[in-house]
Amino acid sequence: MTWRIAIVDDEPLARERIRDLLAAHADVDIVAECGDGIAAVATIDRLRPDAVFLDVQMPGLDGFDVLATLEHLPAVVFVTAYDEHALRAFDAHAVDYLLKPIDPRRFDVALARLRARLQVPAAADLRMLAADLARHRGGSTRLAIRTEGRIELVAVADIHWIEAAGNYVSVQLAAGAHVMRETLKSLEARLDPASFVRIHRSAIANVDHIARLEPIEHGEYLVTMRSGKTLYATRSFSPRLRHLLR
Amino acid sequence: MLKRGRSIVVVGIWLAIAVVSATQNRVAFASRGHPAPFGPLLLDSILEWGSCGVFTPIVVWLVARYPVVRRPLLHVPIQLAAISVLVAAKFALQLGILSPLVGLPAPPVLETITRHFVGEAIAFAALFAVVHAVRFYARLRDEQLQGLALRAELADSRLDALVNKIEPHFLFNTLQAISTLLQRDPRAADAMISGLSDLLRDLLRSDAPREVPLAFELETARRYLDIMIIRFGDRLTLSIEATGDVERALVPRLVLQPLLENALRHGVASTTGPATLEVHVRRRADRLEIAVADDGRAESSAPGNGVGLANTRARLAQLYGETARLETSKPVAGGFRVTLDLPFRIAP
Repeated sequence: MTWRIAIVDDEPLARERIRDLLAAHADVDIVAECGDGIAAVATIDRLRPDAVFLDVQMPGLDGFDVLATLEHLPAVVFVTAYDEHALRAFDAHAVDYLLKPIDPRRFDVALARLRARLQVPAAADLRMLAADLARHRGGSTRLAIRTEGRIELVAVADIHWIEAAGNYVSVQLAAGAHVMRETLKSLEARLDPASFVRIHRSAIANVDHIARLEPIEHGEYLVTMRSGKTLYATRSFSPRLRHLLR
Repeated sequence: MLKRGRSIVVVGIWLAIAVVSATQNRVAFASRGHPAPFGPLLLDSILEWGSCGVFTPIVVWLVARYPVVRRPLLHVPIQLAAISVLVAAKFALQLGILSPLVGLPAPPVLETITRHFVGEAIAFAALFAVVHAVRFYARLRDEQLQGLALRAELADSRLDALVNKIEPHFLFNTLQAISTLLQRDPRAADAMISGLSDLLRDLLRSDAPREVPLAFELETARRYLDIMIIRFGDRLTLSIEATGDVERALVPRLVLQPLLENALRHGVASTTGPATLEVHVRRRADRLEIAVADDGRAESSAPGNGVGLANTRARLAQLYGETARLETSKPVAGGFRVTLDLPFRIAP
């Protein structure tokens, strides 16, 4: 059995290092190398490798954003230079990681673990890891949105509000809306709760883009965004909204 | 005003004075062969001292409002006048109101004031003095605590400055690049190790003066950028331009480092395509202008934009006061540009 592997790192020499270390192992086949997060999402979803060596710090989408955006989830070995929060989260979710510069003996250990996991699939829940990391780091700063074969990179601070529609969510920006396939709940878990608040069963608002709140009746509020758009905050969600705006 | 705990202490002190005074009277009467029951003596003492004590909050307020250390020519007379008024008020309260209420004999108020004014005034002056002393002590202690906190803060910031000189990501990513080169191109790995060592020596030097000739800073910057060029490969293009006699100009030590790191992190490293980094230094009459620019795609809400620049601003203000400026701009073509404007001076 040959395992199909992808390497993701923004520095060419760092990718070469992993390629060199993999060269000693006959049972792996490097199917892709990517230099940034967006390319990684597109490539991994297209080629569906068995495993990915994923750098954490990258331009655009970082390693965790990639993880949160992927449709196909391979086994992941994270590679990081320095990130205290991440190491704690990796340990908590039993995901393997390598520290730069990579020690060859440690690399072989990681590869042995990877083989074991590939033979008994779905051991660690990577989506939970992504949500956990988002919480630790105060939410993602960027969001990758797939639209018709492309991946749009959106600064989270620029999002006005988000509405759910079935299995899709519509992310509203100044320039217009992007629709992405994700549940409101899983998206909410990736956003900073200090800025994004659920105002309705099917809507999340960015408090930084709220212009004013007007009480209507029965504890409901009319939420006017800076863009002029009005939304409703239902009673069960308005306490948190009032708290955040105080 | 007074807090509850303090009020209890104040009442306690006045009661203690009244008890001591009553005991003294009792002993005095007994020694003259007129033993008197303690109860009425104590009641008399309590009225005597208590009618003084009830004015304590007013004295505390007066001392806080008109402290004698500030504007003594105005505040000392105010407090002396206050003492006079308080003496009169005290006797009016004790003899005019309280004593008749509890059925004790009370001599006429006015007559008592004229006879006992000085003694009572001294008692009130002592009260003012005690309140002043308590306040001074409290302030002294506050200042000492503040001084300690400031010193701790200073030590922390020195430590931070030391740690911040070497970015952990930079260090470990560079080591990763070296470990790759060790296999593929040992000579290049060797050169990178020397380059990194020289850079670390520059950054770790603790004896360096606060200002150094620009040539030194450009040298450190080149060492840093050489490493980044090897790491980022053909994605990074670099241009350093220092014209005229600027190389001898004095600049804050490591002034370029945070600007270059910022440009690489937010400009070059956050775009996925090729990027250019430019450093321009030139002299304009008695001013030195240092510009660091990248052509990266500046995101509208790139995080962390502020810290490095805020630190640099603070350092410039500390070294040059009003005579130095840091300005940022976003060229239309994209990217980010930081310009420092310093007084042009040459090392003596």
